[in-house]
Amino acid sequence: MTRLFHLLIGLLAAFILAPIVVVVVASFSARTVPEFPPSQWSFRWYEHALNQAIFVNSAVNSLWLAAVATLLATPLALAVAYAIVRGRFPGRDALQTFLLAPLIVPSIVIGLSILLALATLGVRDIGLRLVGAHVLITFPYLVRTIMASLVRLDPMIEEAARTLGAPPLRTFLSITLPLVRPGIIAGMLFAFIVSFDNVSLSLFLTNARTNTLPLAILSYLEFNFDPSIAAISTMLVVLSLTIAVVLERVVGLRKVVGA
Amino acid sequence: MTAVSLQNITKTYGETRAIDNLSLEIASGEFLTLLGPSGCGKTTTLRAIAGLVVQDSGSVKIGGVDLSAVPTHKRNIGMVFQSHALFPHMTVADNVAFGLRMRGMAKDQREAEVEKALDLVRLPGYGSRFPSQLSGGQQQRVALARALVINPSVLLLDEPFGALDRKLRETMQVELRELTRRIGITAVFVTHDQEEALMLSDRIAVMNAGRIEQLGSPAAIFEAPATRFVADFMGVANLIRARVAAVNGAHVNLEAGSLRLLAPRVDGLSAGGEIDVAIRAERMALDAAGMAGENAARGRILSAVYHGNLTTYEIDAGGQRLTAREASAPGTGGTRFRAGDEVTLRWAPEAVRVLLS
Repeated sequence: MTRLFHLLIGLLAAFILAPIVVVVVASFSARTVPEFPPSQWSFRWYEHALNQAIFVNSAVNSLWLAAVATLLATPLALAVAYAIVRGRFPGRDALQTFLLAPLIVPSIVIGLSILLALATLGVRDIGLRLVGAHVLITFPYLVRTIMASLVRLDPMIEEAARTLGAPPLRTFLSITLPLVRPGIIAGMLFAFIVSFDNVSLSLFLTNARTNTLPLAILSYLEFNFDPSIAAISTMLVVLSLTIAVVLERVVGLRKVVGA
Repeated sequence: MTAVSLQNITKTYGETRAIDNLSLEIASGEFLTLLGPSGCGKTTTLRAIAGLVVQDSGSVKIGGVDLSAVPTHKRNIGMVFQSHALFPHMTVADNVAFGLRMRGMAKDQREAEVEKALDLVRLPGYGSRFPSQLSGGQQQRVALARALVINPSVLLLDEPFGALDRKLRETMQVELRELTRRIGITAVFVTHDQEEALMLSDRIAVMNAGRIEQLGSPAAIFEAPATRFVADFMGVANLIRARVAAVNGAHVNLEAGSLRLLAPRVDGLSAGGEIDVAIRAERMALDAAGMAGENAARGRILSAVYHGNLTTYEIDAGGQRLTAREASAPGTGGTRFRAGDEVTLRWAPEAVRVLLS
């Protein structure tokens, strides 16, 4: 029984990992089309990818965008999560559902709505548009992970601080914040990945001169089919894995996803 | 002198009254226990003293000062929680020093105070450990040190030993009793455990449905419960509904079915009235021979339960179900009688306690 179970888990893992393995292996082909397995091995497509201005510039844009959006969304999400978990006010459940809406509404719809809204408001600046939209989509991920940490924090620990003479703000800074820090860090990393990875929102809000990496990859693929895309994908996989390992080491990934 | 004074406190949650017009005066240096089943309002009352719950009406005074509008962090109280509520990211020393830091005490003085407090709870040298490295009993002692080190006006304890095993709980009870008497602090203790309350307290307030049902010394609560609720909660096994047959001199004659009882006279009884009486199981004596009569009944044993030093018998006495408890007889396999045996129950008039309706 256990053996069958392990076999099923193994098959499932293979099913999930197989495409990634193919991409990673194919990124090392020497020929002009991706091969699996490659008939000749080389690093030339990594070199090629890193020499393309379109990839480097858009990668820099994406990193900046993900960082700024995450840093702006985090304090907002912390305040909202705290209010929902500790607060007792009418409409609390409704607010919670409402804030998770960006996870449920198709992101293509959100992209279109933001485009229309920003056009109506007359916001022309691409950076502003992108940051606003990315704060919106990263927000629910942050709220969720921070809420998960707060729910596990015994409210009596905060009450104990108050009985010992700590005013509310002091209690929050000295007790609550350090104890939910793992949740905040995890939420920030999730938010960063969600923003960095986003296509559907950015599609509506970028122009010919400012691009994000996922969009650059898409437009490159329309005209080229060489292994440099596989090389970029491999670098992104390594980046994501690094983040996952850091998460696991710093806070324990299992604790973060709530398993 | 009065240390804590609660006047006409009421707290409502939706439809339920958690505290119902409760008034209570706690003397300086007194150890008072709020005792009752879960949902009786004892914890809400304690939290109202701490300011963690704000009452709908009434006032909370500590040391003669009305603190009803003062937030928790300005009340100078020490509180110990059932879950100990230590700060998991701080060392034992930092936990204990937290309240002193909030009061702006200088570092040198703080360290000296922390050391004294850890000595007080018999944990010297534990300052650099983290709470997760301590046992349950040690954690609760750190919580006690943290609450005491700020020299609070009153120490509040919310079922602090509820999570500990029986043996450790008894050790901690003895320590707490000795410690609070030694430093002479006023303490309010919340528990649902009657033995714990009896052992620790100077006075006990038995609570029911947001009200104090009876307030008195442990002996008074145990031996002279005022109401059916208190008698039941304090483990009185025999609660009998009886009719007053006659009132004469120092005694009253009561009847409950075929049972005839003689009880000490209390005010407000008149012949023909219905009342409740309480008789503790251990005040009932059992004999194989004997006759039914006043404060004596013939009956048949329904069950005999041996629990170590005591044995409890359930007896059917002419339709009235009675419970008797006696010291287990050594060398008899535990029980003197078995189910089905015919016995006579006897009790003294002083064992019959007339309850207020």
